[in-house]
Amino acid sequence: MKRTSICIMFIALLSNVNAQNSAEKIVAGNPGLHIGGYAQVDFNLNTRQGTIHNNGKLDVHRLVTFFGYNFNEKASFVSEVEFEHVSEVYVEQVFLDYKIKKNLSINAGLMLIPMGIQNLYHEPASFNGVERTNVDKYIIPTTWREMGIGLSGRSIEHSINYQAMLVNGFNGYNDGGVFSGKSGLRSGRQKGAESYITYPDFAGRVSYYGHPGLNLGFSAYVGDSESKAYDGLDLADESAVASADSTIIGIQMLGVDARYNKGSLQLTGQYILANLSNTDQYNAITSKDLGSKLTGYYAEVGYNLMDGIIPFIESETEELIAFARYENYNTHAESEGVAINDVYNRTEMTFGLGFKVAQGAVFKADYQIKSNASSEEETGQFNFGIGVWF
Amino acid sequence: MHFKNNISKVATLIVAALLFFSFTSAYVLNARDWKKIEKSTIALFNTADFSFSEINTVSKFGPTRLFKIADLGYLAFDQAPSKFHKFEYYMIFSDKGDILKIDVLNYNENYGAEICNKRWLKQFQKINTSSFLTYNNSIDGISGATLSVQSISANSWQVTQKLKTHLQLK
Repeated sequence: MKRTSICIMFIALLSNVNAQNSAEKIVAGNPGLHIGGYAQVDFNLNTRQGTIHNNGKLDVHRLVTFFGYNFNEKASFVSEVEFEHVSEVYVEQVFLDYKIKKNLSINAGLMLIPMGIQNLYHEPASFNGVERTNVDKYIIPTTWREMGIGLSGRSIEHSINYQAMLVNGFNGYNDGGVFSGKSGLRSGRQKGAESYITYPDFAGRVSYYGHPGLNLGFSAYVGDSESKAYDGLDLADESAVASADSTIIGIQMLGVDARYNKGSLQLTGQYILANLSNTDQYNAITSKDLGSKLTGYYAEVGYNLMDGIIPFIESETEELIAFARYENYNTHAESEGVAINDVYNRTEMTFGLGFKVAQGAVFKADYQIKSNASSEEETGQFNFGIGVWF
Repeated sequence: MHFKNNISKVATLIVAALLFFSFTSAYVLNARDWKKIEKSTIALFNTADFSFSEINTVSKFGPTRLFKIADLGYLAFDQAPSKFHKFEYYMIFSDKGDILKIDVLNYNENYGAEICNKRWLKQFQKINTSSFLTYNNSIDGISGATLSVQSISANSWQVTQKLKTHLQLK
């Protein structure tokens, strides 16, 4: 008996050494290989509405694994595989980056659309609050990634970073309308899963960081949504072409964002505007209620309380960030052919704390007061969560 | 016996990998880099009358390269990681070891180039502390460049410590 257990221990030890061996071999033997990831785990609890009870929700919202490989100084590969709500698997990014000049590279594959802050910087340790902001969820819509080819570059001399890309558009019509008044363009993201295209759309972003602590971003997206009605369409059939033309939406989305850090203070703001054309025809043919103008903005202030301002909780390695955010997102700022629904004009106030135990590890708690323009009623929601990034 | 064999195998492998890594990652300062460094040195010390001489031994400073700027101060060159590339930077010190300038020569990552901002890098000139934590915390963060900010703070601290040790031993 004793001998068996020693034997088992020995085998366990041996297999452990072997495991270390192969892991070391992969990482140390491949200086180009990079492994990382991030995760967001949430607990959401809606407060009671009058006598109506709501259950709490516990969710492994996202778990993302990052694998990158530098083939040489010029060519590198980036991939992120995402598990959402445990059971849904997505590829969040997969592209090849090739440096054509010192400060300019060409990328091709499945890439993040450079619009606003959180679509590009969405690792949970990098934003305040348990959940991503709803401006980014319903107006942008994060995580927005499509297939295409692009350039990303920078001018260090002028303190500018820029990105420009041609990508497939949203899937707006698939045997029926995909867009909606409530969630805007969100359901149309193709995410690189057998995406289809007629003409490419353009996305671009310029950010300026010339003033220390300040990061200013300007983003633009211009193009048409895709439609399955075009596939196999006889271009000589005028009425069929006219009917197919009614199933696409023209999109012009513009964004301005600013982030400012000074000592323990952090200020963040973002404004996104999307003008959609052809919504009257789209709504008529699909019986949807898509708005013709979508807007969203938020302003947030945060402060690290462990900087010494409060005695006893001063820390140089940890941060306790208290923040407050005001947010409005309206997927019916304007409409054509359908009446404006004020329920889609939503406002949220969020107050919370983030306890950063390391630069990439945070415990979060916040309370949100949600309302919409259709009534005076307010609902409350508690959120608790953890966020990690490495 | 198997166990011991495995350990030695692992050790050999790690040493081999480290050696391989150290050879492949060596960056050679090119003419353009030197031109930039010389320009900064002239601007800092208000003279063109100087020369660089490398303070030797790779083992002493690791991959960091340290030079004496006769008779003005010191120059250090190093590489540090960004998200998954490396960037090259240099530091110029007074003859007492105070940071006079820190500047990025090449930045190779699509994210985080904000650390190249000269006005942001000026913060390092004021620092004079004996612990890394106060050093690190006196640097303002940059949204969107968290990793590179951490990296240049940690790396420049190490470089500063290497120079300090050298000055004490002298």
